[in-house]
Amino acid sequence: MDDKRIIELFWARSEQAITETANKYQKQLCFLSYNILGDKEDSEECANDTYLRAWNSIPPKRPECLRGFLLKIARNLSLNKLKLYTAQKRGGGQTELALCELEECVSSDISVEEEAEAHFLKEAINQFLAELPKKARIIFVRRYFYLCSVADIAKGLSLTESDVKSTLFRARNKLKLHLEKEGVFI
Amino acid sequence: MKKNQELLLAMNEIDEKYIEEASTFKKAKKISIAKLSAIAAAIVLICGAGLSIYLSAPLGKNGLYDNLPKADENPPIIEIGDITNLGMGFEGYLANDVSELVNANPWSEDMNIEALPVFENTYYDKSSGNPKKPDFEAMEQRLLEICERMGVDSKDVVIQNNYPPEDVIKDITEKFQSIGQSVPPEFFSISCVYVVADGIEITVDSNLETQIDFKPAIKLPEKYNFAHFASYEETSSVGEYLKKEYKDLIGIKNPTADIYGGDYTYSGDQGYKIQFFDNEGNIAENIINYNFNRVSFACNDSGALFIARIAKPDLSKKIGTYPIISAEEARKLLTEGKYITTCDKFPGEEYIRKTELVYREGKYEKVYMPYYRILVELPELKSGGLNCYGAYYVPAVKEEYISDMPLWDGSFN
Repeated sequence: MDDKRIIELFWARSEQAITETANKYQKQLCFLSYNILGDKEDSEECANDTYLRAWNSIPPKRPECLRGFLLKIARNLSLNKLKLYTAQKRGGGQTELALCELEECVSSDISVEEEAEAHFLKEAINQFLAELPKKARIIFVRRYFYLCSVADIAKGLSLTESDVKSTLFRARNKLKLHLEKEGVFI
Repeated sequence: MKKNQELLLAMNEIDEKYIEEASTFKKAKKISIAKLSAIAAAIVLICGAGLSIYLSAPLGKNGLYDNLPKADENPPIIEIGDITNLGMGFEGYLANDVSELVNANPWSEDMNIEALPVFENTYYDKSSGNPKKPDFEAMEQRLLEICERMGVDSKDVVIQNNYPPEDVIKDITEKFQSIGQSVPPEFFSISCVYVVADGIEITVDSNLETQIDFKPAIKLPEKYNFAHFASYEETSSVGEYLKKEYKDLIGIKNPTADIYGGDYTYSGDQGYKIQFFDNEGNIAENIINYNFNRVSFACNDSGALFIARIAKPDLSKKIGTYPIISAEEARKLLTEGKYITTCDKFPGEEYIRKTELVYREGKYEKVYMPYYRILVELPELKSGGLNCYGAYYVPAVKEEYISDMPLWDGSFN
């Protein structure tokens, strides 16, 4: 089903929106989540949580790109879950665990300075991506947004792992220079 | 928060068009259970065109069994090489029954084929184990050839490549120098050449694999359902349309549609894919063409044509024509552990479900040689009522001609 139609279903509060979203994007959401968590059940759970988050966000939001919107939610949820697991693994880190659990409740508690910094960082990264050659950009995004392994990227793009590594190396250097130039983050 | 964590989180705020762009630029050859369903949705595009005559016998024009190749008297011993580190995904297929897994492989068990050729993979450097240096002349020639086939005047095109710009080279060189090292050889290299033309981008990589990106993606007429999970009949219908519409691009004398797949994703969606191969010649030639001479098309999530791919493995270096074993002999070798697989240990003869003959043609194969691909039901991996069929490869060349016959050692091999 067309994304616009799915978004209309969300706005109409039709539960079919969830079904259609799952039909269309379950694979991609699980894939991204699995890259982060390495667990099939966890990745499916994150995908399900993504639908719930989308249900709660649309309306009022009306995402221009539904796929990107969902993937961002899934990525955030997966990273949060990973953080939680990492804290659990440390053993006895109940404070960290509790903080992780409470993090969702206090997500808006950031200073104006932090918000401004985050905004500039976002702008700088988008500008950096816009200037990257297409192939390097795809490799960079697959590595640092989708969190795919170098081997998977190489396989997916018919490149050698060494090609991917050197592209990433160059891109990281370029990003560092770009952030320095923009006065962000360094 | 550490700076690197901050950066990783900031990546969540990138423009969605880049997420979209990276999500559609992918392909995979197999469904990977480990990677869940994304690979299942990825585009299988193994293809090729313009295969010449590689068989030792002259081409047969009269029938499928005319002039079949004869085994050489003393062909050289073949070394398969180490393929344990090739990043292969788990090759398993989900289906209710193995009969749902279909393709147009011209081989069948009742054929009496006694010998088949084995080729050197010229992309592979024997000494280093790495891909050889790209042949830029061949890459550009291939690019111009595809331009012509796409109706792009090669005189007008500007060939570009992915060599890094001067400032990047300078920066990286200085960085290496600052830690007392020099830039490793081949660090700055070109891995592809490309042309941007009206509505298409054509890219040729160092293995001469060609990809045509349609920009924007082309919507097929309303009556065709070109989608990831279209039925077999719908996909066949799309195949017929593409065969006529892209005749020049396909560039095959007698293109035969191979509607293959039929396996399911974890979500329970069944899908098929489209490719064409040359079905002209005797049965041995058909087998070679089916495995090496293919042109594939893929849709995007909106059901529009967005990629065509043509692969042309270099089969100019034939090592020899080798006697091959029967499918029955291959199944016996499978029970003896003489196989290559990305699945777990072979569960037993009673789980063998299907046998077919294929060439393994990945770019990291040391040689292109025929194997029996045996689909085996994996009872422990049954999922949601669907059976999982794992692929086990047994060399089809007689064992006495292989110096390093694979033997399953308890790990993925």
